[in-house]
Amino acid sequence: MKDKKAILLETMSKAIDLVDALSEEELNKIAKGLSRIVIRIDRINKEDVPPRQPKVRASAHSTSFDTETDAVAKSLQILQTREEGIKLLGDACPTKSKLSALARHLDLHVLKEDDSDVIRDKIIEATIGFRLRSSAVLGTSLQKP
Amino acid sequence: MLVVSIMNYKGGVGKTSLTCNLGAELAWRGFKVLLLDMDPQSSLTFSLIKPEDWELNLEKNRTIKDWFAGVEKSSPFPLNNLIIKPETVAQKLNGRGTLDLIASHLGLINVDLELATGLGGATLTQAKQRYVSVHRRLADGLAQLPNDAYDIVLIDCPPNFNIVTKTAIVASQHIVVPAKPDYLSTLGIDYLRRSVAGLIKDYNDFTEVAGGAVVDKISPAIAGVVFTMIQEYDGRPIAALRPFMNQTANLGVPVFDAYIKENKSLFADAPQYGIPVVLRARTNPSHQSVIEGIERFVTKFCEKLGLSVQG
Repeated sequence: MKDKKAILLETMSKAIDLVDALSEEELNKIAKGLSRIVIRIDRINKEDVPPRQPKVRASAHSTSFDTETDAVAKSLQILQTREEGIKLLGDACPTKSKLSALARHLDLHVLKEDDSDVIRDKIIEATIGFRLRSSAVLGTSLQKP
Repeated sequence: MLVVSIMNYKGGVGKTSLTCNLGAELAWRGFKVLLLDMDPQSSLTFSLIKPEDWELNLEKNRTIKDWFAGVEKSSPFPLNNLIIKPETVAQKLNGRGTLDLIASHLGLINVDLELATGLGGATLTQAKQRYVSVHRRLADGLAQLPNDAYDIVLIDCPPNFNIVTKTAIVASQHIVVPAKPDYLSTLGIDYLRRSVAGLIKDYNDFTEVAGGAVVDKISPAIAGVVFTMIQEYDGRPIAALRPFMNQTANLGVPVFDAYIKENKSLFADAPQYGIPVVLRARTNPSHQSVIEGIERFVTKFCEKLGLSVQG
């Protein structure tokens, strides 16, 4: 039996996936206040529950998402300034869920209370900041002419 | 005889525990090991012998401080005279290998000042000759040990880059860098890399122009960073530590796959009894896991340095 926390996390994860799958048109409608996202709790009977299916780890959607995430990670790892990284993240990972996914991809420790700015900073430090720090201490600054 | 310095600029990263346990495990595997405590805090010394025994038998004239002072005052004596055999460990090893020690002294901190007075000179050539001469003192001292006396010398360095520390680096073929996977400790690795590179360059440049006797150039290499005080979850370092470990490897610094796990109860009182953790009984799964981690590191260390286990 799953504990309440696990059930809640699973529900939130599904919600994030659904938001992530929304079309541009749907997102525009939400942004303009013409549509809204509703979470509804429905009672279901046991006989309505479909038999458990084996988990499919990578759907077509998640594969393309993984590829995108990997591409962003690789791009960050060759950038030379934090500012370039912040700009790239602003374009490629505008939402907290995308930033979180990238952080997971980079094996970073993200706390529940971390907001988008904190996650973004962690990503920047783990991909660009550590190289700048090291170069500065070694006296071989990346930004030296 | 291999000479390996264990050092990091950052204090409190587990240099002494690593030196002590590495030496003990190598001795357990049959190697002849000499530990040299170059840290004025003398933590390695007091991990293996009781402070009251040190006061009674060593403090007055049998520590590495006295050897440096003797060389400085032109009354040198061989390093051999300082070597002691910590009894408790010797009993535990029961003839398997050798773990000897040259003890340290709080006064070693003042030796730097005395060594500094030996630098300089009336001419540039003289200054360079003196630089090389002062910095290779320990190398010369270790070279006088009988060739087959030890397989390996492990030097526990202080967390600074003063002249005494530099003599250890000049004497070493390898450097092992213990580090906690955190922000400041990993910065310490970079400080160390920069300082070592600077020392090697200066020393080798000066040997070229110093004149006089031919002096070998040095090339101490960082054998690897070994991460210490690791908290594990699900059989691997916790998520908060992994980024710092990955970043160090991504900078091109060699990093040992094996690491030293955190265990406050095990490491806290081990020195009190003069038995390094790795030689203690495995009283529970947690202790066993820590000890196996140290053993894995020692195996990687032997592979890296080409040390083969004695028959």
